[in-house]
Amino acid sequence: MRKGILSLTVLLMGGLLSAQVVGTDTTTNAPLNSIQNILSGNGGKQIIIGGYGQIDYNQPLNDTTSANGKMDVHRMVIFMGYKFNDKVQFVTEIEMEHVKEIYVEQAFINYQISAPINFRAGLMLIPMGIINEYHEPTTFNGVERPNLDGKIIPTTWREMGAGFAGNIDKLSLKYQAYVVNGFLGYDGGGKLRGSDGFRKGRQKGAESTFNAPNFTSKIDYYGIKGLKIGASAYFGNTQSTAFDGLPNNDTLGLKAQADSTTVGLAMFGLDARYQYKALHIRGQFVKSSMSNVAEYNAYTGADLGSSMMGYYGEVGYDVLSIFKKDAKEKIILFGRYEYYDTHDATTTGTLKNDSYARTDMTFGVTYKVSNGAAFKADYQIFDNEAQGNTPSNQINLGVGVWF
Amino acid sequence: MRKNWIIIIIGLAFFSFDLPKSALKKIDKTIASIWPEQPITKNVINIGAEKQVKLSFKLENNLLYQITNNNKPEAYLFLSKAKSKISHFDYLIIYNMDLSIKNVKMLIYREEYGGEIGSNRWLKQFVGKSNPNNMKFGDDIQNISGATISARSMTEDVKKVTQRIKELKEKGLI
Repeated sequence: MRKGILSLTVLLMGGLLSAQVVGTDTTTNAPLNSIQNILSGNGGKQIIIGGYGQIDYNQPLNDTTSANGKMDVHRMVIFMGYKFNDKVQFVTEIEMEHVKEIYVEQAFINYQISAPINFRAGLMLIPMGIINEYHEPTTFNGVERPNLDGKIIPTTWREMGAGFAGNIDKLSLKYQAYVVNGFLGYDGGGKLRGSDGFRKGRQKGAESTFNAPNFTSKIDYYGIKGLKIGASAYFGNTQSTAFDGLPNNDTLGLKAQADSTTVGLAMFGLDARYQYKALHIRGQFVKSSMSNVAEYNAYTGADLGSSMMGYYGEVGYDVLSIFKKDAKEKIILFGRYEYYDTHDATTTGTLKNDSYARTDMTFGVTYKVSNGAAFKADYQIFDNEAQGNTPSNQINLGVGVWF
Repeated sequence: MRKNWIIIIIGLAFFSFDLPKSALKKIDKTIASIWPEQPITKNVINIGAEKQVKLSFKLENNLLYQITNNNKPEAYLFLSKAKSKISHFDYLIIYNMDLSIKNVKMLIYREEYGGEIGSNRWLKQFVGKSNPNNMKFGDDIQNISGATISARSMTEDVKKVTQRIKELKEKGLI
C-alpha cells in the first residue's frame, strides 16, 4: 500500500519536473504546461498540479543538557485542481507530513455564481488569521510557522462545510462565510487541553463527528496600496460523541450530562500585512473565549482555559535591494515578537498554568532564490511566565518551495 | 427613442477571444464610464499575415481595438489574459494615443484565490505608465498580500502588452 502511494508520488513528481520546463504563452489560450497538455482533453477542461514543500532542521540549544537535532521533511503537499469550466473548479491539497502521515488538507468545489459570489462546499480551510490560509512556506518568514498559528489558531485548521466567498472589486473587499463542522471535544474522553486549546480537536474531515454547526467568516480589505487587513470571527460549539444514541425523550437527564462534554467557542482575529518596496510588516491578534469550560474540565479531567489570547508583530527588510536595485533574488532579514497565552483566563477548578503564557522571539533570514524557492535560517528564543523558567533557544535551518 | 449618446460596437460578431457575455458587457461599461455620453466607436485592428511577419510576437485576431470619439482616434483597447494560481483571468488595458495607460479593468477572474487584483484601487497603479521598465513588481507596482501570484502575473502581462503595443506603433502598424 505504502509502495503504491510512493510510486504515485514519484509519478506526480516526475510530471511536475516536466511541467516546469515547458513554456507558457499567456496571450493565447495555450495549455500552460506539459501535464495540462496531456491531461486537459477538450473544451477547456484542465487539471492543474502544483505543490509546496517544507524541509526543516531544528536544533535546540541547551546550556545544561545535550539535545538532539531533528531533520524532517515536515510537509510535502501536492496540489491538484480540476477545472470543469470557467465557473466550476474542484480543488484539492494532499499533504504528507513527516514523510509518513497522509492528510487531505483541502477538497472542495468552487462554483462561481457570479463574479463576486462563489459557493463552496467540501473540506475547507477556516479563514482565521494569516497563516491558516496562506501557509505555503515561501509566503512567511521563519523556518517554522509562528507558534500562535498552532497553539491558538490550530493551523492547518480545516473542516467540512459550505458557504460563500468572493471579492467585491469596487470596495476592495474580500469576504468568506461558511457553515462548518466544529472541533471534536469528546470522543469517550476529553480532547481539548490547556497547552494548545483546540488543536487535538481538529477533525480534518476524517469520518468527522457532527452534531452542532459552527460558523466562520472573514473580511479582508485591500483598498490601501500595499496594505491588507483582515478581521475573522468563528462561533460554535464543539462536537461530542456523547449525544449519539440518546433517546429523544430524555427523562433521565442524559442530555444534560452530555452537555458537559461540549465547549462553546467564540474566536476573533485581526491581521494586517503591509509591504512597501523592500519593507514587509505583518501582525496578528487573536482572542478566543470559551464557555461551559468548568463543566467540561470537571467531566473530562482536562485543563482547558476559558480564554486564549495571542499576538505577534514581524518586520522584515529585503537588504539585497539596497545593493542591487533590480535583483531577482531577495534576502529578507526579519524579526518577530510573539506572545500567546492559552490560559489567558481559567475557570473554577482549573489553576492557571503560567508556562502557557509564552513569548517567542525569532530572528532570521529568508533567502529567496526564486519567487517560489527559499532557503531559511533563524534563531528562536522561547520564554514563558512560569517562575524559575529559563528561556530555551533553538536554531532552525530550512528549505521552502512553492510551485 | 433617440438618446443624446450612442455607443457603436463594431466587430463584436467576429469576437473570437471567447469572452462570456458578462465580460463583453463589462468592456462596454468601462468604455461608457470613461467617455460618458460620447459617440464612441470601437473598431477591431486585425493585421494581416503580411504585417504579422514584421512583428516579434503573434498578434492574435480581435485582441486590439481602436477607439474613436466622433471619428477622432481617442485610444487603443488591448485584451489580454494572464495566469492566476490555478486558472487564468481576462482583462483589458486602454491606452491613450501616446500609449500611456488610461485604464486597466479586470473582465473575468475565475478563481477565489488572488481575486483581490480586480480591485480598481490596485489596478489604478498602472494608470499613466507607458514604460514597461517603470512597472517593476513590488517596487513601482505594490503587491497585495495573499494575491502575490496573480498580482505578479498581471504586472508581467501588462508589461508585455505595453511592450507589444509600443512595437506595433514603432513599426507603423497602428
